Amino acid sequence: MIENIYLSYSDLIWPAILALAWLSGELICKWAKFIPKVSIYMAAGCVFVNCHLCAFGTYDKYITVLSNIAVGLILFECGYRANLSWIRTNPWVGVTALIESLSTLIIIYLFVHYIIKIPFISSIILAAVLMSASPEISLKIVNSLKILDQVAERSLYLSTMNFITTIVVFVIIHSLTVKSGLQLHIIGGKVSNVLISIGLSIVCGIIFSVFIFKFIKITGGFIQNITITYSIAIILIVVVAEIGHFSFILSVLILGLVSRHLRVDVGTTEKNFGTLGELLGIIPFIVFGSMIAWSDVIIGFTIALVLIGIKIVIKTTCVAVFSFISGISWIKGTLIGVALTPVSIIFVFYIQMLNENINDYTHTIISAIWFLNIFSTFIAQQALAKKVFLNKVL
Amino acid sequence: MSLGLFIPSATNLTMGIELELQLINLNNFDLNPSSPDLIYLLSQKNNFPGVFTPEATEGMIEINTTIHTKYSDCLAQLQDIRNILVESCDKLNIGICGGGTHPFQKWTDQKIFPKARYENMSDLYGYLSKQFTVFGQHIHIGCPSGNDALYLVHALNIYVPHFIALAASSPFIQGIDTKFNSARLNTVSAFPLSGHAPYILDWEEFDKKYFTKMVRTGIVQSMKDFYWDIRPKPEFGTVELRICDTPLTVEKAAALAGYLQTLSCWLLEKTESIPEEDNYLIYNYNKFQACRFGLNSNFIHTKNFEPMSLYDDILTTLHKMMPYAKKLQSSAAIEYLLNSLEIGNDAHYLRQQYDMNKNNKEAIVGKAMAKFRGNG
Repeated sequence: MIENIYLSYSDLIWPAILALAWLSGELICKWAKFIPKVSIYMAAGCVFVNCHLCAFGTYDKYITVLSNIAVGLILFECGYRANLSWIRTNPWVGVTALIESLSTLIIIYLFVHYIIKIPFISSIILAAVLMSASPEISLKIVNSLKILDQVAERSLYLSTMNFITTIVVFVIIHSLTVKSGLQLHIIGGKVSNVLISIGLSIVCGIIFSVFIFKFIKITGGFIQNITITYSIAIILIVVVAEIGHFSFILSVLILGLVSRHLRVDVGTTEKNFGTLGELLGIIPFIVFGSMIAWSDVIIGFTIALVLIGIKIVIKTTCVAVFSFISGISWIKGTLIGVALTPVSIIFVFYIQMLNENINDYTHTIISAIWFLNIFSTFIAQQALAKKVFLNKVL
Repeated sequence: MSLGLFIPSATNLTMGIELELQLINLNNFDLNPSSPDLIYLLSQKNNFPGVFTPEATEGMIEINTTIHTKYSDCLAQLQDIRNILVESCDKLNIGICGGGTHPFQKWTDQKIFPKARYENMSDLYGYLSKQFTVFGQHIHIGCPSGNDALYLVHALNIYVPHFIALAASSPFIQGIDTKFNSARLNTVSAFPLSGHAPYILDWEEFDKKYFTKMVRTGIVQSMKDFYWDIRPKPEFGTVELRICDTPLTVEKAAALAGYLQTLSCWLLEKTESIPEEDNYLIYNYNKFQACRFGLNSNFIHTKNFEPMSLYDDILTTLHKMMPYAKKLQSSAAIEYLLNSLEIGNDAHYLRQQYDMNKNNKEAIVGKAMAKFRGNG
């Protein structure tokens, strides 16, 4: 037992990587402001792993928990910003989200299944990965650029909707694969377990939001800054979900959504959860980068590039087509479509669990897509930043 | 350079309203820099009943009515404009409301609207331009001649506290309770060409001696550069009252215009003594009183220098205006203001909401948005 108290030199690796990634982000962005910091964090994780400078070691579990808490903080904000009544006042925004995500899913599936001849389940998984947009990357960029216009608002909204649709698709894939005996473990074990875990996730999110709502009401103006209230709630949800074997991702999204619709005043919550959010927010991107195997990237690079190209064309076309009817110019619609390019880094953990059931070739393509996410993030930032130019034009 | 002729208003005592409105982020109820998006959407509509223009920063939008002779028409148009604005904002997932200031926006976060006029203004005035993210109501009254316009500019000065107190809706600024009813005017007074117009009653003298000289100094190029509380607008043939906070409802905005129209009608009969330069001795003090204490203020009477209750003076004047209001078909406007005297001004309402919602500033914005929609 005494041995466990002492740390070895290898335990310094993760803190050192965190420091190096952060420092690289600060230094590079000082000289090249057009490069998103999250791209640098992802690249740092990728470089460190592929140069054998780091691997999951003693701190594996702790790093995963910290990463989950960071993802929880980001997804809470995404959930809070998703105004569901917007779909009622402007149904075309909801229609756009549905059409662009389903079009991407179907067209990519048809392409990889019938043209590249990838097996059915692998094709759907690949299509689902590409269908997802990344609310976490969009939020990081929007907050760092301090933009609040329709391009930012809608790219966040659509990426959150895409994210939820992707979760639904993954659950369906899971049901299909269990029937076909592939033993996938996306959220739980069997189909009934999946449904139970989804139910638990939703209930957990609702219970926490109602509890915080009542707590703030009872304490009145006593708690001036509720950043800590929500941070603690998210930490608790992550841990409870880990113990209860359900998805904290759904729970924190529900926490955000319900808190918003109960109109809990989170105005005093610092953007990005302040310094805590900034610090923790680095970790999931490094972890994501560290899961990219260079040898796989080389094999799957070309096809991944083609697939991302197809994704950009489909999403951009769909959003641009519905832009005018939903109240914005087609130029802004195009930029929103382009801003949806990065895939969500959160599904990386699910894909890791699916590794055994995805064929090798598909795995190399997914690795290459993750690698290209470093550049997709850059493209998304360029699209979001263009609004300054647009305001002068319009 | 001269102002040229004062183009008389086609019909005497016409009125028009300009309202500066707040665009709200529905996530955190802060100001949202979305005027370019809203302006784009409004420009796609062929049926917008008035005019919309950008303002200095992107969290603001200005709307103007067309010219009206009757209060009821003006009110109906404002309500149509309000409905279209609300519908458009819903489409963009943003909120919209009145109020002279946003309770907790930080001026440092504001973005100058990308238009040459505002960018030049920002170059000249520096941080004042962003601090100018305050929201006012301007009312134009049509005048038959330049001399009448100048007469009205100076005759109205003793009623300036009335309009400040009735319209006051800016008790909070930058996240604090200022203890003022209208804190907005303190922001306006930071500009070098603010205050009151010089005491000149003859249009030719005003144009040739004052305005031409001012142009020669290089400080001004047009009447737009004067941020006076009341100023003549020769190209429109109007006098423009600029001291009102934007009220929380368009109904109140229309009522204030109806009151000004009625008051102008009575003043232009010139039955009262001619306005004097000495009236301005106590002008700033009375203005301060109205800004600070609203309807509960005591102002100094211009003739006998005795302190008087502003509430009583407004009440007396409103009753005195009734016959003129009937003539102009704006009795409903006077009735509306008599009623609002009873329930208190918008600043009072906002403070009430602040207390009722346990000092929650976001709740104030929520209530202001509901009021603007007509749900409050």
